[in-house]
Amino acid sequence: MGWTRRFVNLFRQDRLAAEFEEEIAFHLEERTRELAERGSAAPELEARRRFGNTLRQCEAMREARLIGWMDDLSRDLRHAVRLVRRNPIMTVAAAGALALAIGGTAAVFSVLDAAILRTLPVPSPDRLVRLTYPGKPLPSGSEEADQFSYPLFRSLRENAGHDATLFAASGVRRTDAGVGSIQEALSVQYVSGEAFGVLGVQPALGRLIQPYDDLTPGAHPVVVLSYRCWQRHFGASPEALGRNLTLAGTELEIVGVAQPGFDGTEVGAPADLWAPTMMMGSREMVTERGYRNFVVFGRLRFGVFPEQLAARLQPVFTASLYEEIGGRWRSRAEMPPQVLAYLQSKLAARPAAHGTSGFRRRFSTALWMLAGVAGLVLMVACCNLANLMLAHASARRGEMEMRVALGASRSRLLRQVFTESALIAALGCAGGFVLAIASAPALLALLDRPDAPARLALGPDLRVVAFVLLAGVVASLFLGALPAWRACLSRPGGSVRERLEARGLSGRVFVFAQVALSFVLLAGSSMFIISLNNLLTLPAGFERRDLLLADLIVDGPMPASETRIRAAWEDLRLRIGGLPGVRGCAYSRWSLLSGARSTMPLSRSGESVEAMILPVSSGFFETMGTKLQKGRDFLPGEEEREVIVNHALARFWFGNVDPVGKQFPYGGRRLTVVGLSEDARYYSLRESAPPMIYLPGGTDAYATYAIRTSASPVDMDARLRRELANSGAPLRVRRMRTQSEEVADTMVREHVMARLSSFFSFIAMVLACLGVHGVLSCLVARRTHEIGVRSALGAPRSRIARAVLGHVSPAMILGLIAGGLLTAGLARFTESMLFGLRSSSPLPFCLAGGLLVLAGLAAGAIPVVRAIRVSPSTALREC
Amino acid sequence: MVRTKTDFESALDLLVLKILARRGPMHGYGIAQQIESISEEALRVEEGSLYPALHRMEESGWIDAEWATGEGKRRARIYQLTVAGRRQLRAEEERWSRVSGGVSRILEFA
Repeated sequence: MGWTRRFVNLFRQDRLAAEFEEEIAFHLEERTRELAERGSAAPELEARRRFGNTLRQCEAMREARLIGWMDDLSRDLRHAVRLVRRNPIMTVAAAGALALAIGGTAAVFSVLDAAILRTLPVPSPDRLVRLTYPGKPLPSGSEEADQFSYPLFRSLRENAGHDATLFAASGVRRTDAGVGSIQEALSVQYVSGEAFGVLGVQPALGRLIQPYDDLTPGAHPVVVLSYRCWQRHFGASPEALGRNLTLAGTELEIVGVAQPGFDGTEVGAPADLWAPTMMMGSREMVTERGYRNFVVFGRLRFGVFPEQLAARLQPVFTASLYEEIGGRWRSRAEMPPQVLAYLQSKLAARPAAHGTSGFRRRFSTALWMLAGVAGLVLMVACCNLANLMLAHASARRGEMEMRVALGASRSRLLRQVFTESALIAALGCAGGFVLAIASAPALLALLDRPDAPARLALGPDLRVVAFVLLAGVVASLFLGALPAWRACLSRPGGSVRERLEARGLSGRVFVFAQVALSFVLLAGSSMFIISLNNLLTLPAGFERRDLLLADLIVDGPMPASETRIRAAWEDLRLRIGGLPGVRGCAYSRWSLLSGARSTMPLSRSGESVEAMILPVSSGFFETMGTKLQKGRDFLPGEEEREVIVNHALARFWFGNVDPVGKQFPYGGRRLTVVGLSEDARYYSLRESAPPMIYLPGGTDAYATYAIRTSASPVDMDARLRRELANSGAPLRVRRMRTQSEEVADTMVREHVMARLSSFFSFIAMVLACLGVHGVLSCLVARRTHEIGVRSALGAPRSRIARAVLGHVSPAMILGLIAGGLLTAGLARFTESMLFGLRSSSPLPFCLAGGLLVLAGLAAGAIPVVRAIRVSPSTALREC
Repeated sequence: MVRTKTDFESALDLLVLKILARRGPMHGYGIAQQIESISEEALRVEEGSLYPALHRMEESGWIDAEWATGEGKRRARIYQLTVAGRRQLRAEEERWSRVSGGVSRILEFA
């Protein structure tokens, strides 16, 4: 009854009014008749007098029949809509700017949420942990490593006891897989038998990998599909169970499908298939201590802390370290300090509720920074809008005063002002939401690697929706605040001058804020652009143009004879080198920037350093464009008695003496240095060249060929496959790319930051210009009369122009200064992302300042021109 | 939503409920007449203020209303007491007698 009827009555107001009138009319008629019978002179008037104020009673009756505040709200809304319709340009500009700002922020936030904030879709993810240990210190500093060998994992698993259940998971790699005749590259993750049990994942069909699938290498040909893979490749048909799937040459049986929504432990690299660790490519992966391929996760028993688990497993870990490398030295006294420190590495158990993520590691700083950038743009947009709303409110002060005169309460006025700003904010939010959903995938695409695109579950998540709503609420409060304050002050017949002065000030305050914030953004994006440019143009020590990289791997089981396989690699190299259009060909175990590396600690006279080891073929230096400064290159079929070092290593080990011909200790033997190469970047473009030890041609299971040619990758790929087929070598091409692509891959973050931050700061600058333009236009419009007078009295144009600009220049200058200080303060946080540029470098400041000054002048040009053009006679007439 | 009633309004409510209980269903004009005649013209309420009170009571569920065609073309809205209205009337009567009893006792003994 009550509420619903009162709500419905909101829409029946006309009928209600008619009913009230009818009821009152009846009363008045009866009263009139009665008075007439009694002999009154003017019965109708008398009746009306006795009845009282009809309008007021109708109003009271209406109030009794409606939901009061809702009625007010609908009124305010209708009024706001009418206002919006009357000023479409202002509304579109305001809502558009807000939509852009909110959309940008929400897009960044949704990627952040998907990559960083969301937990794995398993029960009690907060009880999951991941084991880590301090990584070997790189030239730049240490990081935490989490790759373990399988035998070590086994010992850890046994020793965890009741405190936790451990499982191992490999990284997710794209591998060729085929069902029937269809071949495709799918993402595969190898997991130990108890993985699914520990995680708590349920099968959607069939069964998942069990502990009994993980006992003997090569003896458990089973595979589990992910739900998405099952839908996409098998049409979600139950027939998929029991079918055979070929994975990297091995036949596996599909035994089950995982629950929907589970994509493995690596966020951003969802797995399509899971196979038992025992089925990994070669036996050595699970039997040798030298191969560290697995991340070790565990689920803590209730009441057990991560530190307890780490302490419990520490002895096993330390023992394993000793076994692995302690044997190279005869006693502890002989070990270099680095090795000693390494042997004392502490095991730690880190929370793994969010799984692991290479994507996250690479981009979390950048993403947070982008979120900050977008937030700043949002603030600038809000300032702009507040200014617009203020101008709008000023124009309506007459209306506000009338309302106050008619008896509107302050709260009523405030409610109306906030409804208007809320409407615009709502429009902006809706636009922003749509923009966010559309652009989040685009943002992700910017961050992608082409061969392994990051697949995150982006989508209208509750958190994103909540974020947008929150942004909208904040925006509407912010937008409405000043006009509301202004409305509160409105008094009938308030002083005009007082109002004008006040209005000018707040407009300038907003300009100040916008200029300051835009400065920060512009300076920031200049820093990123300069960094990117530095990275792109730095001399890398190798020639990256016209260079193709091909990853090859031994197809099928490894041939028993080592020399045979080496001969095959060398043979292929010569074949490719002989192809038309190929200017050089060589191979190495990894490409220079692949992210894989093999290291060896070196120490000499108290200093220690981490040297990189790279086995390369003959002709490597020539193909890569790295100069050999002294000595010679390896000869084909070299025995492992010779070594080539680079400048950095030579300087460290041999000092300023020519190293060619000298002996160098490696792996307990003494090798002869036959050549000295220039320094070339390795592993990371940002780090300076590390000391490098190049070993002759010792690659077995896999290698990367570097091919110097102007042919396209697709073209070369076809020719390479043909040569392989012709030679009959048991090798397979896994991937073909250009060196430039590989370089670009390592700089994705810098690219993204540069591009997006400059996009956002451009928007902010435009908004700031709009702000300046708005303030000056208003000024000129208001003071046309005064300008006319001055001009009539003989003021030169330049003075007028200066006066107009002078209105806003203190605000701008203060804004520049404040922006500079703010940037100096915040620049610390960007230090890690810059390259070749210190955060205190003056160049970005100058760039930002210069740009803003130019933009401000350009923005102010039109109002200034208008002021100059004011003809005195017209202005004076218009007073 | 519903602001607390003034004393005047609660007194008016009580009168309306009592009249409807005694005299049965009637329209607003009739109720106004009754108030005048019963109180011997001592209570001449501003007639208009009766109607918002009637509508308020109708929203509260104490009285029900219906349109009825009387003589002539004009329709009239007839109000009648509901069960809840009767309960409210009893409660209000008790309250009034308590209050007025207290006041008279004070006047006697103060």
